[in-house]
Amino acid sequence: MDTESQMVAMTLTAEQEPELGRPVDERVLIDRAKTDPIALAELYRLHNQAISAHVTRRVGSHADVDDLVAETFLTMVRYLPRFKWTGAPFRAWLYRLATNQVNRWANRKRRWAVEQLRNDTAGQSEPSGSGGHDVERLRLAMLTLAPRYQSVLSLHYMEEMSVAEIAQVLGCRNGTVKSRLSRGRDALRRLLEP
Amino acid sequence: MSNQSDRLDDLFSELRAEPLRPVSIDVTLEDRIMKEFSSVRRARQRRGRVAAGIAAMALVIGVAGAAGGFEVVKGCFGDVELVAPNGESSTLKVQGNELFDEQGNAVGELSITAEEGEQPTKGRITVEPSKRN
Repeated sequence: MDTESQMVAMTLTAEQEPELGRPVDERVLIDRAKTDPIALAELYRLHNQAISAHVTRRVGSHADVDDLVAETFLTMVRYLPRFKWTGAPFRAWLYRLATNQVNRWANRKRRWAVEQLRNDTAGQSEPSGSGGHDVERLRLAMLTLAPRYQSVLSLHYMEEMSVAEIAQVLGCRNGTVKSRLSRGRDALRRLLEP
Repeated sequence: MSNQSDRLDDLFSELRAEPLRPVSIDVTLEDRIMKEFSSVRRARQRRGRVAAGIAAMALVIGVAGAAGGFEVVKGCFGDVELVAPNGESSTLKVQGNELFDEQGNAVGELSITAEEGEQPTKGRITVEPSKRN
């Protein structure tokens, strides 16, 4: 994805959220949302789809998705008064809140995922060739990684963010993102080897 | 790029392309957001009032200090026990900066003794005999 497309992906427009029907001045809306609950609800409506999709891609079709999405938006309400513009899109901040929620969830599920992946590998004598099964194995393998690798890999591959955008979301340096991407990929390859 | 890396990219592409369940607006969550907003706002207002109270108190003390220091002890209500060097003690009632004996007679007053030439904002609290006696 080129830089322009990435910027479009991170910018809220009417095209991206067709149900809105009009471009939204995000900055004005966020300032209003600090004192006006109606504007706050509008923020939720604007970003619900993107955050739900991100959480679902990381967690899978799990019953916990709704809880994680809800907790992300409730955290948004609690911390919005302290939110300050740093040049990063507001959605980057929301991704950070969601990432923190999912990382905590992933930490709890890691042992379960390791067990599932081990059972799956033991029951598989040769590569399955079935796309669905391999994708499920990838999701399981992701869940066995340390959450810091999971979050970088998922933002890069599933949300198609650049290294700089991931650094904005996670509040770390570009170099840190690059090294986590590289180590995360290596770990995944080892886990998915037949 | 290696074949393994290509395979990983392909798998992630498949994962990304998986159809997501339709997302609808959760009315219950919207309601929780509204409630959370109210509770956050109440907590902030409470913290604001406490901070304003502390700031006002600090301002009063600051102004009083700057305007010539504290010359009398005010606002004390209760008992004070005075012990003489020989061990004898007597308990007196304190009202404002005045001391009263058990019969209600004014017997003295509390004052802050500062070093010479200094503003009496701090120093020893002494009891002086009442001027009415």
